[in-house]
Amino acid sequence: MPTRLLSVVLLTLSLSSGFAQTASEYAVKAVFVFNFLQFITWPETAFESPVSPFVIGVVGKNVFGDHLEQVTTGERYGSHPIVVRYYDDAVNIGECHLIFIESDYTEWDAVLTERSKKNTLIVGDHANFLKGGGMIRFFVENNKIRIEVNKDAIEKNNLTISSKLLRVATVYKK
Amino acid sequence: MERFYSLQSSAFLVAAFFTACPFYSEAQDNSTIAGLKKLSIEELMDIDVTLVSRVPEKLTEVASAIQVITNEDIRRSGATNVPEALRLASNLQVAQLNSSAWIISARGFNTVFANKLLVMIDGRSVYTPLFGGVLWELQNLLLEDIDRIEVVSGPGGSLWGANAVNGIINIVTKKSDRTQGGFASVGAGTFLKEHVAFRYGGKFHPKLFYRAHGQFFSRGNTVLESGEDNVDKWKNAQLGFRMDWYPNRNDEVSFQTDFSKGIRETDGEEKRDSLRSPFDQQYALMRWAHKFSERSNFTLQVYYDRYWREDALGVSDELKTQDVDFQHSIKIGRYNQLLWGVGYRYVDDKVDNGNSFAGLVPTQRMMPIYSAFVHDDISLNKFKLTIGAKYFHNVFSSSEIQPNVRLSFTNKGYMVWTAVSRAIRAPSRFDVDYRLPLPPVAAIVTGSSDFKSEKLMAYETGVRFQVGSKTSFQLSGFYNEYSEVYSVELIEGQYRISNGSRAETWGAEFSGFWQVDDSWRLRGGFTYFDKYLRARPNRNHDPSYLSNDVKNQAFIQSIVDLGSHFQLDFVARYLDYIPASFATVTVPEYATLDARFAYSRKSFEAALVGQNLTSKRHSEFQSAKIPRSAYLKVSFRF
Repeated sequence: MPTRLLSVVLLTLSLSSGFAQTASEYAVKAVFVFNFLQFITWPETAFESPVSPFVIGVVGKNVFGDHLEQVTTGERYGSHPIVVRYYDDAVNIGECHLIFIESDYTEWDAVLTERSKKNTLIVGDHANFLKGGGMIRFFVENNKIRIEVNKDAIEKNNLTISSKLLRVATVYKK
Repeated sequence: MERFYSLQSSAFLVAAFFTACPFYSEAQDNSTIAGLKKLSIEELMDIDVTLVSRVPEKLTEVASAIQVITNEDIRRSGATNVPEALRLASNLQVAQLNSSAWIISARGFNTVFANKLLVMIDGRSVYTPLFGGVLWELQNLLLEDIDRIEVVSGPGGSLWGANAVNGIINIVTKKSDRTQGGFASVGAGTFLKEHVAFRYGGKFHPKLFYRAHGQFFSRGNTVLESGEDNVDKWKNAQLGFRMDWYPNRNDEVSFQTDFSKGIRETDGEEKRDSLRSPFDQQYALMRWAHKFSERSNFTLQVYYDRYWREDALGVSDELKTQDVDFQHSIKIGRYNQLLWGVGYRYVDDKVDNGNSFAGLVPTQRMMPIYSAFVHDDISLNKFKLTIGAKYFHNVFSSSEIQPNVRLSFTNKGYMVWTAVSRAIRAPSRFDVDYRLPLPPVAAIVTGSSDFKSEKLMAYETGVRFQVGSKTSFQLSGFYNEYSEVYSVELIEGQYRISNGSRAETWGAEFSGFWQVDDSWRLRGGFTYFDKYLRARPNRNHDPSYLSNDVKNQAFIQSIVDLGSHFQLDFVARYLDYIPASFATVTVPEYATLDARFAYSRKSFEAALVGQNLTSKRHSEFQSAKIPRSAYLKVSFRF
């Protein structure tokens, strides 16, 4: 019996290949974050100099592993190289153009009140994220990543969002 | 013969391990970052993601031996119900007694009436005060919607609730906003005969989410030593509903209710015709979590739970529970995190002794239970000191205080902890109200209202390592001193239930997981346990039947994605032999293998699962044997 099972197992192992359709949650979210840079416009006044970095800040536990680095290596936002920084809590966040707040970080509304006047896009996972002042929220539907977008909050921060991104997102209405 | 069996089994386990290695072609480009970057945003939204299980901060910092079973671990193991899912934690000893009964314990004292474990489902306590254990046949959940199962071995201190002596199992289902959309599955097999499940989640309002679910299954019989079929087929149907409401940033309200009804085949003593033993259960639970500020929040929970269960000989039990629980968490100053709570539970238990020779007297008991706890985490630098105490009072015991102290040291990548705790196992109806035979005949075996709580002094320590996000493992060791343990002794011409036993137990638990690469994950563990259980001085009895525990057990789970659509998963486990006692027979050691092969697409999945594949049938406790079986399950998501 054991040898028969083994041969069945080996046979099924040879049946692989094909177009991959599953990926890990945070690999996909990392690529989404990178896509936001292509559909949202930051004003040049948000940068110190034409070559100063575009900073992505991750607040709370690093749920991305090295996925964000993998996505952004060698990439630029216009003339600005993209850099990823990690912060344990909201207190120490430096200059950031995009902030991602991971879902277990409970003090996320502190980040929102602090950042609401600067040219920052704030992205998060929490159920109430947009109600609390967030700009883009990730949620999962049928095991697929979806985004909910608060257009007004984004525009209030001097950022412009392309209609191409709005088309695929759930638009948040108060 | 047994030695040959274990050599053969270990050879098979090794072979299973190596065949799980992913020898597939390199065409899964789209699951890597490079591949994902090439996709348009619409295509990106079409990708099926495997969700990261969110282990709340408190679990990774908890100074206890804790193992977490995620939703994905359960799905990929082929487990068909909660007890089978619990095999995925190596700090639990899970033995299937017959088709509808399991005996489950942590750190020893596993028996038919295993009573040293606190089991909760979404905050609702499911151990029955009838004997202090769990009727696993009543706990049927839609596995698809379980978020995680937290298994703590050891007295969890004040963090989880009353009556946890050897461990806590906390089963958490997903909130309804995380289970939106439809799910349906149909399965058929040789032991799990039929299984149909569905769930639909939606929202009434952008802030008010719901889900409705239902499940039906019918399960086959186990086999007796003689080769004859055992009389233990059963089936169950259930319907449930849940709502989660987020009215504003500071509040979350949750409501759950469930109705289930089932029936078991049981054997009568007089004739071998199978009788029908029905059971049903209903519950409703509401929870409100309110945040005052970032530093202070509370949870209020209320539930009502009722079950009715009939056994052979017309014996039945109806248990109604009403429970109110309040917990408040507050951060004081820079270093103190204080958690405190109070709870009141009212249990109404009514038993019908039917035609049984033995039973409970009085038949009905009202049992109010009061509990309170305080738990203070003091963080200084990398050290965390936890001081806590639990207060407990039920109708059978005097007030009990259970203090505990825990100390942990955390540095980058590892945490070391140590703890000393006192815990009690409160008297249950079986300890106090048992009579054999029933009145008016004078009792030969009798319970006693003098039965005191069993006591435990636990000394534990452990270390946890986290190496990046790819691997983490933990090792823990414990030494337990039990006093005033259950006994049945001849006192003044009568067998009385008393507290005449004592024990020391010790052991070590290891568990870990390793994300080998994007498509291969391993998790597993092993546990060593030993004990010295005996009668107290000058007491004359043999308590060995109280503890049917294995010295060694281990399991390994391999989860492999073969390319894009196929999944090949294994769970291999080994349990040592259970020695005989005067009331139980030897259960030989066994190793077994479950395998799952699935084809998975966006909204459709077909899985073929084989369970207990290595032998035609095997025994896990007493003599009913679990057969080798297989089932096919097809699921849809829409």
